[in-house]
Amino acid sequence: MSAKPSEDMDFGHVRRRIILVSGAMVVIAALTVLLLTLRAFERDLLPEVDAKTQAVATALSSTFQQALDLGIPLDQLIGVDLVLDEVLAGNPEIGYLAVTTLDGTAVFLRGPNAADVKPTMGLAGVDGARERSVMLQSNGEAVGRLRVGMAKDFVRRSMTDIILDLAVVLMVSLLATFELLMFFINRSLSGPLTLAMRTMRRGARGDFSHITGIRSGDEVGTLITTIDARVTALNERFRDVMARVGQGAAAGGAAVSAAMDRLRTYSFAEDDRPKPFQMQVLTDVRMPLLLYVLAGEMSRSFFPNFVKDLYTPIPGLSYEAVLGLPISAFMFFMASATPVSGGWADRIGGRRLFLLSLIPTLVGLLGTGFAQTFGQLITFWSLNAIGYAMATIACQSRIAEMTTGENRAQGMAVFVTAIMVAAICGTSFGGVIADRIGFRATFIVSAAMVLLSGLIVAYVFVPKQTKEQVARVPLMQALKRVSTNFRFGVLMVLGAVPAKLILTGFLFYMIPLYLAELGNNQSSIGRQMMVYFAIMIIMSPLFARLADQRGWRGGLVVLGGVVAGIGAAAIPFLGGGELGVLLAVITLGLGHALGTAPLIAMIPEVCAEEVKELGQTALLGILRVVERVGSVLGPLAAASLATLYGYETAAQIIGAIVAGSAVLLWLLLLLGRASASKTPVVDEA
Amino acid sequence: MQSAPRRVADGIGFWGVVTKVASGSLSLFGLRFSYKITATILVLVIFASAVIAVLAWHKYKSILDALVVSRLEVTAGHLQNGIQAPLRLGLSLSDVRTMQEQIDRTLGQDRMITAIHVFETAPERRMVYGAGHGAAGEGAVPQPWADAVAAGSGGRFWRSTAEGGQVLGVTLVDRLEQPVGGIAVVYSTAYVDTRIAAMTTSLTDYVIIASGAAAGLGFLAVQILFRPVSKRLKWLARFAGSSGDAEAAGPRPAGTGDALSAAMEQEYGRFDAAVREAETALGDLETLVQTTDARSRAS
Repeated sequence: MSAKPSEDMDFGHVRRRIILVSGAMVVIAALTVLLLTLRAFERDLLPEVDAKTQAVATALSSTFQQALDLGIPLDQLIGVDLVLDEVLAGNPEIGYLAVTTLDGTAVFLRGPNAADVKPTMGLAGVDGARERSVMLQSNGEAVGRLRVGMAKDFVRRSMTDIILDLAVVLMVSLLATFELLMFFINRSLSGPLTLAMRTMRRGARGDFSHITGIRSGDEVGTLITTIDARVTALNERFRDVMARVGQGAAAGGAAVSAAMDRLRTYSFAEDDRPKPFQMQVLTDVRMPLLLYVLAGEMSRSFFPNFVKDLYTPIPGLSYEAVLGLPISAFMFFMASATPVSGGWADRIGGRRLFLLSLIPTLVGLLGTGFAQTFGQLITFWSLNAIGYAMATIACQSRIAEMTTGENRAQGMAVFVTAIMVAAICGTSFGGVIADRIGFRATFIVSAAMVLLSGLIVAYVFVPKQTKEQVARVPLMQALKRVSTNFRFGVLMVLGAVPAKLILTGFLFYMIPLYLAELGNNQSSIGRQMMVYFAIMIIMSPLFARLADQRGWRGGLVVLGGVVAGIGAAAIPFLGGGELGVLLAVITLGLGHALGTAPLIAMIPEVCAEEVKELGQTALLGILRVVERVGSVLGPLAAASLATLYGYETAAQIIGAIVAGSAVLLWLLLLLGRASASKTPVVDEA
Repeated sequence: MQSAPRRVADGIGFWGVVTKVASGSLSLFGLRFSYKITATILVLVIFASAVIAVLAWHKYKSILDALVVSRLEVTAGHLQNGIQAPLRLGLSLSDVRTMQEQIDRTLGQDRMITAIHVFETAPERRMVYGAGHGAAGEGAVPQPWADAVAAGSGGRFWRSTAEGGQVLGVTLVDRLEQPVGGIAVVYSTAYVDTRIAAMTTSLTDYVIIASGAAAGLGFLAVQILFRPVSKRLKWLARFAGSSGDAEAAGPRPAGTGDALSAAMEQEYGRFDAAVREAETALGDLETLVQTTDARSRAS
């Protein structure tokens, strides 16, 4: 059981245990609540369905009664089946409608559970199904009965729907739980123990210049404090001795010189005291980023309705166009601020940029929440967009600062998964919170979350030590500079743009409309779309690790493009309808999980020279801007194609474009590699 | 004994904020690691349970609302069926004499309904029949109702508000399919509110029960799984505190078989040896300097 040769320990087994225990407890608690809730629902809602059945029975019986009052015999009523079918169509909780004689013989019988009706069925109905009946009279004499039965699977159907919805909630809770746990484990266990190990290993080599610098009251903290104390004491003793040597060294002669030489084999702190190590954990970025994006996403579900409240007609613009203005302004300002933020990040570091981003974000969110006019709304929402661009670029920059070529894809996967988790959780929670406290107050909650993310960043992000000497290059000039890089160009046009095109065009635009056309409700559509996010969250880090370990970044980007496109292209061959869409969503998720993080990680490698001139984050900013082109083109292309050819063919075309672009990208990267091999440029594609 | 560590600047440890273990200063109280994990689990299970409960509450509310509204739609539709046929034949609302009896009966059948109004908007705007709170003739037709009728078509349901609760209305049309009036079913939301309040209480109880049970189980699991690690780390801390004197550190925890703490112990051994060597080297130099100083003073 020897320690690993590297300075960092593998705390995998402890982490696994903690995640396992915590995950199991969360699942147990959630399932307990779920089961108790379902029982309560069944207990509470059945009487309501029963009351509805009674109302239907009363209303329908009067229709029959009118005919019977005219003297028409019960068995000679005309068009009864049509009336019954109409009622059944409008009331899904009704299993059957029957008009029977007094001895229970069915004269008219309709409904999905019609086969279950027995001639002498009592009020309890079949299989415990509830039934309500109303006596039908002719000339004051009872001639039959109208029997209305509750659909025996209605409660079960409702419960299935609820269970599926709550399963989504459970998944979201587990994702959020996982994020919290990783943060906890890294900050309180693996981070401190890694630093303790680092301090001890350096000490074992005679280097006493650093301490962990962590104080905590638990077992780990006690051990660390002891280690730090020994290193600090050694340094103090060294300083004292050196001070005394300085006063009388000349008189010491050869013996002192020999002792000094012996001490020179050790390293002590250069200034007064040993420096604390800086605990830099990649997952530190995830928690503040998650909180920040979560805060922004909270308004997604209700924002269009909020905009409607402040709607003001603008001459020349339709109602829909005016309602879309704040979102368009957000996109415009975010896209504009992204490259500028990239340049700032390289100069001032991710930490300071994130803290700076709090100003426009907080003003923007609070201003939006308190906006009284449409103009104020657009102004503050645009300010929020600038903050959003700054914060997300700051986090990317932070990851870039902390990663090397060996783990860059994994670092970017941290970024991608945080955004995905926030997107899922934010949309779900935002609607709930807004429903309880109102739209405006929800913006205040978002602002509080942003503030919290800033506090975490201020606390856990280590300030940038050295400032990169990067020239301030305007966006257009930077674009011009990178446009001469063939491999960067093809990566953007054939990798980044198609990825966003299929995401916004196919997943965000086309799938909700197509599924709605197929008769799916909002919950069902949401659940199918969530599959994409779930796959991204789970698979993205795995593929990123593969990309880093095997150096397959270019290959994974190409493979990801092909997989992402092939599902949409093959919808008719995958069974069409809901099944085809689901499979296409799965392949899209897999494709993007394969390629997204490796694509970002490739940038510094295909632009080795440009990174030196423009800075790494500035290039990531250019990537973000180029991606926006795909995001804008996606819905436009999808809408045009769907209008011309219908949803399935439009999906096929988009899928084929994306898969074809990936194949072309592969060929051009090979070509680029062939030409690059003649020049000393880093290449791995 | 080693000298006490000086204040360490730039100390980090986010969890310290929660456990009152501030960075850069001594902890106010030290929590065992296993307690920290248990506390985290408690926070997480409360969070997850509460999220499920909140969303379940919304689901319940939406289903209950939908059921109640659909039931009222059946009732309103039933009333509309009774009056629409004569209107299509060219009769006016006041000619349908059976209507008052029908709305009285309907009012008595559903406790949620507080009033039913049948009103005309054309040729003149007036209440024609009514039952319950604010019966016919006691007030004018509210403007929102008239607007809803004007905007609607025959049989179309609309929503509004009125004194005494919410309103579910349905538009009546004449033989030319022109809106001439409507039926407004006024219902109290108190019933739904009561049911929702009861469900809120139930869900809160479930969250407390589930979180408490899961946290208890979690505490036991953590004690079983992390006790060996905790023991080993504590022994290691004592071992380190006693300058590597294994006897002074007390009996070594047996049978833990934990790779992490074993590696830590091994690494501490190397570190301790290096520190001792450095101390010896410093001690030798100190002795030499003292000797030199003494000689200088003597000479």
